[in-house]
Amino acid sequence: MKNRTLVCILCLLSFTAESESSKEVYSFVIDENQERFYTLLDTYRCPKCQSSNLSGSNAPIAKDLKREIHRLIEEGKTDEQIEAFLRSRYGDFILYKPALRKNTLILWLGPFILLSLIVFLVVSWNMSSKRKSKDLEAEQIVKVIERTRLKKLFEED
Amino acid sequence: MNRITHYLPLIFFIFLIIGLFTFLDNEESDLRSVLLDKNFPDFSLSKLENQEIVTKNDLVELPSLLNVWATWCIACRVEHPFLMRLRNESTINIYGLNYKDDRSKAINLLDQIGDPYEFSIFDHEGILAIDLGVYGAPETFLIDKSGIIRVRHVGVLTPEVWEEKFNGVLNNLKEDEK
Repeated sequence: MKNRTLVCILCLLSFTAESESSKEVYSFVIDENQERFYTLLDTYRCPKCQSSNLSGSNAPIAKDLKREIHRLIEEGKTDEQIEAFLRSRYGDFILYKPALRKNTLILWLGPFILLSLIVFLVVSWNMSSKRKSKDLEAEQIVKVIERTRLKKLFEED
Repeated sequence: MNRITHYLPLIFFIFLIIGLFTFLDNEESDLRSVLLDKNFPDFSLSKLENQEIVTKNDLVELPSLLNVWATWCIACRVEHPFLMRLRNESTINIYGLNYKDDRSKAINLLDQIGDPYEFSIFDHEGILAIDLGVYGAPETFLIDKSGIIRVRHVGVLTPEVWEEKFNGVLNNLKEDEK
């Protein structure tokens, strides 16, 4: 049991060691740019990877792009200019947040259409089932009344 | 009535899948070709075989192919015989872009298996590669006479791919010249 906990702890430690090693040190003339740099790396997707951002990837291309982004920041480029730089080369693929365009409309509007459809269906189902249960109630009441009437008739006999 | 409502989620799901595929699949092919019909980017890098600096102006014999390759790229070996064939049949000139590689290893490899390129550009840092939107090797570009990228292919260049993507465009380019 003790061994097992030890193994678990070691496993956890090894993970943090790995993620630390993938962060290379980039120094900036202006300190605030460091934070900007890491935010940008988190924002863009590595072109080589299926689903990993630039900061999470060790692919050679990701390293090159980190270097380029570092260079662009040091040259005083704005975030918009850096995004334009990346998009003109790698297209929308590098964006996790797709641009609002004709062919991406389904991504932006799809969830809302889906939600309103579900709300509509649930409400209409609810209404019809309520109506049904009300009908049943009424039927029950009628039955009770009829029964008491019958009973009375029998008793009178 | 009840039957239909039972199958409603399934029908909806199928429509959703079809919708997503038709809308987003087109985009997928788009983003692999952001640089299509754009000018080939400027560069200033050294040749593989010596330290001589080459620029865009040294890509003189156009139209031509630019093929991204490296010694660490196994798929590049697969397409190598086809590149040799293109050269031997003098179908088109090929320039190489040696991508993130070791200079002496790359020269040795070409000595061993043959050099299909007019010359190779040595891009150790991946500088030109980034401007081309390259994210792996092999990749092949067709550049027309005025230095515009006409075709881009990611992956192995096979005779089938050549027929399908390159040959038609190349013939059109040649006809336009006449």
